Amino acid sequence: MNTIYAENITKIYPGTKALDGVSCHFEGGKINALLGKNGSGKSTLVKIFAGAEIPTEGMVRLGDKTLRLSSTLQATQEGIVLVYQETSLVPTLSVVENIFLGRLPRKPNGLIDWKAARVRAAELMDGMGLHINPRALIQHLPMWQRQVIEICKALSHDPKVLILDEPTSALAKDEVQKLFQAIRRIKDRGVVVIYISHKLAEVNEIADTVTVLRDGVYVGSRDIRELTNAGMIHMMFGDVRHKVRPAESVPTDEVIMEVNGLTRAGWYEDVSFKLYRGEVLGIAGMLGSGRTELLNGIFGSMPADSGTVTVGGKTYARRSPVLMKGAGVGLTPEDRKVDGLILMHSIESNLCYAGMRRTTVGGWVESTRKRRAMAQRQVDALHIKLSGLNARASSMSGGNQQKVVVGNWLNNDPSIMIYDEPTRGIDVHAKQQIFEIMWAQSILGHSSIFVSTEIEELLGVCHRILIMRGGRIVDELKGERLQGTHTNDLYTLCLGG
Amino acid sequence: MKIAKLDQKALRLMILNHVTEIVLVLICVALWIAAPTFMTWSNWMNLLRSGSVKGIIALGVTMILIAGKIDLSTGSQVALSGVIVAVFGKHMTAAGFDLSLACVLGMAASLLLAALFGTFHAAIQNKYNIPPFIITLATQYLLFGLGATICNNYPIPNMFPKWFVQLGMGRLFGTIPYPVIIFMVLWGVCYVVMEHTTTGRSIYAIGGNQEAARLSGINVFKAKAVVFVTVQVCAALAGWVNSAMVMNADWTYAKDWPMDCITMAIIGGTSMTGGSGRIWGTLVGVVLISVLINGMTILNWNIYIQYIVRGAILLGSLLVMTYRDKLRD
Repeated sequence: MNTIYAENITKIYPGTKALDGVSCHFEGGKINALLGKNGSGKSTLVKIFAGAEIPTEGMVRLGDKTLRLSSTLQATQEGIVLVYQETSLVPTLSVVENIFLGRLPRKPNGLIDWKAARVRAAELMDGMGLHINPRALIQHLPMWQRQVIEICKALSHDPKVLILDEPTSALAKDEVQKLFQAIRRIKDRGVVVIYISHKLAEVNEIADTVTVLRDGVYVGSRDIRELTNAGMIHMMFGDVRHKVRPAESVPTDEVIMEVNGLTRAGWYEDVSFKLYRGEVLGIAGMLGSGRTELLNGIFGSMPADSGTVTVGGKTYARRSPVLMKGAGVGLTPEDRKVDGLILMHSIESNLCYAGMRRTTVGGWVESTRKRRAMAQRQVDALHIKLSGLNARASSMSGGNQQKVVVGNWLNNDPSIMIYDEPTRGIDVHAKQQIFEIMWAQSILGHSSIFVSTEIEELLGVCHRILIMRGGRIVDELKGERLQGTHTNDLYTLCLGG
Repeated sequence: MKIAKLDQKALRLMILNHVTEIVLVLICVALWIAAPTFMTWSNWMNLLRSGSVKGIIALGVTMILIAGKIDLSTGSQVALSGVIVAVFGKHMTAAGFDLSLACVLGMAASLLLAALFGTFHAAIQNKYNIPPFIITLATQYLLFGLGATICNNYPIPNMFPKWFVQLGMGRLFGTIPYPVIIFMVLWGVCYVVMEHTTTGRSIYAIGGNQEAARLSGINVFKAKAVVFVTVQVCAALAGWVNSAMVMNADWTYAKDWPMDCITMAIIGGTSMTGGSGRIWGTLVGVVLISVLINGMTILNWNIYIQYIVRGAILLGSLLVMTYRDKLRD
């Protein structure tokens, strides 16, 4: 049996220590879950295994052989393959072309040996229990089959170690079961399977061992049978401390927004809640719980099937960003680089898009002076660090970009701000500043809805937290119950026990 | 040491940002030396007059490129609008109406049709998210066929009143051609709209990142409609001027103009991928191309050599811009 070892691995990026002296090992013939919250270093560790990152210190050992990996190609030759979360398949090409992308077998005359390629592809798929025509186009296949083909592609290298990074994140429930059957077949061949997932229920079902990293440090490895969900959560999060919300930030009992029976089939169902003036409301849910779709459904940037949103006494059955902006609502999108910013435009422009009308004379012609003043107002208020207002938005760090996305909306003086993952990928200090913005808005009598993947953040920040699971609001934490809630309880609620 | 290095980069960027202007000046100086007749008032008025017709379209094209879209049907619209005005003249005078009245109605009809097509392009692009390249490729054929059909496959010469012909042939104070005046006025309007109004800001925004613009509560369809309609209306106006200049209406006019106008905008620094561009640059691009064509004609260069030069200039400007963007980041 093969075993892969990490020996005292440290990885330093400019400004952060992603891994700090991690030593652990993963055995063959087992499915080894690798857990940790965002930024725990698990992705860095598997990238080092796969040759995509080079450790600052320490080494990787496969069986008795010490590896000095400098490229993914080299790792592949040693038998270590990483299947990334985002599928790397070309949708418009056939199954067989994708499996052998860039290395299709050739005939002696130099032309592609399609027959050999199809036979080999069919063998690989048979081995995974997948019976489809190798000529089929990827774009016509369901997600789970694509994920299995991704794995077939990895298996075509005949790996000793197969690393799967969140393979189920895009799959429906019944599809997950089919994928699991395929993964178990690989395990039976004695391959070391390393399985990264955020979903504890899945880990319980598929994994044999659990290894946990936290803040770049190895916490421990356990047999899955010795471990409860609560135990896993405790290993992942340890004892968490919260930032303190100022005492002046208190919600009133005036309802400022009411969501009524909002439904989008397959994403979220019959969601109803009230938002009060000055309140910071958290919505806690795991990835795939429907939170992002719900927030966009409220804002009108994604469709909803039925239900209404009432803001300022007016009920909106149909919504669009233009309408909701007019009603005093703002939204900072989940992926700021893709949806939040116009990276090629200046920081000043990016700060003035939502509040465009406010920098005009008479509603249409712009005043350069007003624009500059409005941009500068947010730069000062949010402590945005920049080389100049004319610099491109792409030149800033993640935390400052997020502040520009928020500042763009604050310039329109919204009474309700919806924050979708405002803290993703930004450092602790910048996170704290984003929370302070929400509290400052709350003191001014404005309300916020806050969603974060790192749901422990919600505890200290929010006045009230709604629990979202499987597209429904299943619980509400407020008052004393909220104060008595710890991170682990919150995860338990979100994961469903 | 570090400051000196930065300054050098800033200097290089400044030169690259104005490379079209510099090239224009250099070409003018070279032509001045090579051909004495080049640097005369009357030659300049003539070269600007012929450049202005495409220039009018290039303004609309600049706007639509900044929005990240394109319109290939402008050439057919140029021909069609001239044909519509002439057809109104022909049939209404035959029915006993005044030629001027017929002409005004024809102009109104051609504007209306251009606006309709622009709205149509914007509407189906927005609804079905089809690439505007394909949509306008289709309507290019459609408008061409429409033009040929309504004039019964015969060109219509001389069906314009005197004042309409002035649009192409006349000169303000007997010296500045009206096409140049029309172009400059439209350029001014276009400049103010693009650089100093929320409409312009929205157009830049949807070209830079349509989803981000939408999520900022910008009315994306409105911005699209403005550019698609503007470029069609610009083409219709250019169609009048063109027909007035040649005193004829023919559905085969202007077939290769769409690409010429795109060239003018791109040489002026507008990006094909949207989000960036300069109305000032398009003015420079229009003058540069006009000077080139005029100069090469004066020098008696073979027409095919002229095409090679134009291709080389376009390619060169693309390479310079790519280099500039790389340097900037």
